[in-house]
Amino acid sequence: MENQNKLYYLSLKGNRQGPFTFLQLQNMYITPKTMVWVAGESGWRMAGQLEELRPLFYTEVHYDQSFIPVKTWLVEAILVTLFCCLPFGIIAIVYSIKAQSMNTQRRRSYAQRYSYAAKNWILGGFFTGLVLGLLTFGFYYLFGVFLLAGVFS
Amino acid sequence: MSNKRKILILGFVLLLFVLVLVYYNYNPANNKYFPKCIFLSLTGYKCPGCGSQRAIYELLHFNLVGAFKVNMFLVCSIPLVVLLIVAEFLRKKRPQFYMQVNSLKFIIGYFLCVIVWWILRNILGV
Repeated sequence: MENQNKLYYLSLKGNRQGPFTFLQLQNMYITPKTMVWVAGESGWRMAGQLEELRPLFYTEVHYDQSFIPVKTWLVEAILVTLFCCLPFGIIAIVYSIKAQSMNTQRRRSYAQRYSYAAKNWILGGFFTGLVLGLLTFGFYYLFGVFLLAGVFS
Repeated sequence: MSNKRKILILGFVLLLFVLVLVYYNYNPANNKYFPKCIFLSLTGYKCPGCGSQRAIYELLHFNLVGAFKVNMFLVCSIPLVVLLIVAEFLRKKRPQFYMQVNSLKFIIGYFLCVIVWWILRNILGV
């Protein structure tokens, strides 16, 4: 491949890093918006504008296959927030974000820890919501029974 | 797929079916048997999810405006939730896609939206 001899510099959080070869870039977390400077060429460009870097974003072939992101439980956290009326869901979203933050840094064991915390808050919120919901239902049911008993007594 | 997983999925589908039936046929807005928001009853303040049951009722009747009136945040969240679910199913096959959908800026933005929505709806009364 022609881009194998090229060297790339990245601008990550305002710091210039590199040089990296194309092979090294495959194992880094860069997005189409990451600023890239190709050694020997003029000026910084967004990675998405460089034809030779497209494989990094749009196909799996060059992607670091060894890294599978840890489940963040974000969907579940959002659903618990919207349907269970308790702040538990919001705490779960915070842990989901932490898990994802570790995912982007490829720190799987930390991500796993936060993912587990998110899961627990979700389960807590879900079952508390469920039980309290059923209790309100049960309350009305009992209330109805008492009302009927009152009517017939 | 393990048996436990199959039973879980079956149970989930059944539950969903029952819920759809209930929320299609009964309007939570004028039916006291639906569970009330615990947070609202305890504190007197609305939670981010208040109105979700009514919103689901309206959505099942394709009344987007009605759903928007009771909980606009839920309606706005639907595309995101769908996208996240798709990404979730493809997590192992398409890790890159998962990472893009769960991009940090995006999900932190969503989290801030939840908080802002929570505060604003109690100030504005929506």
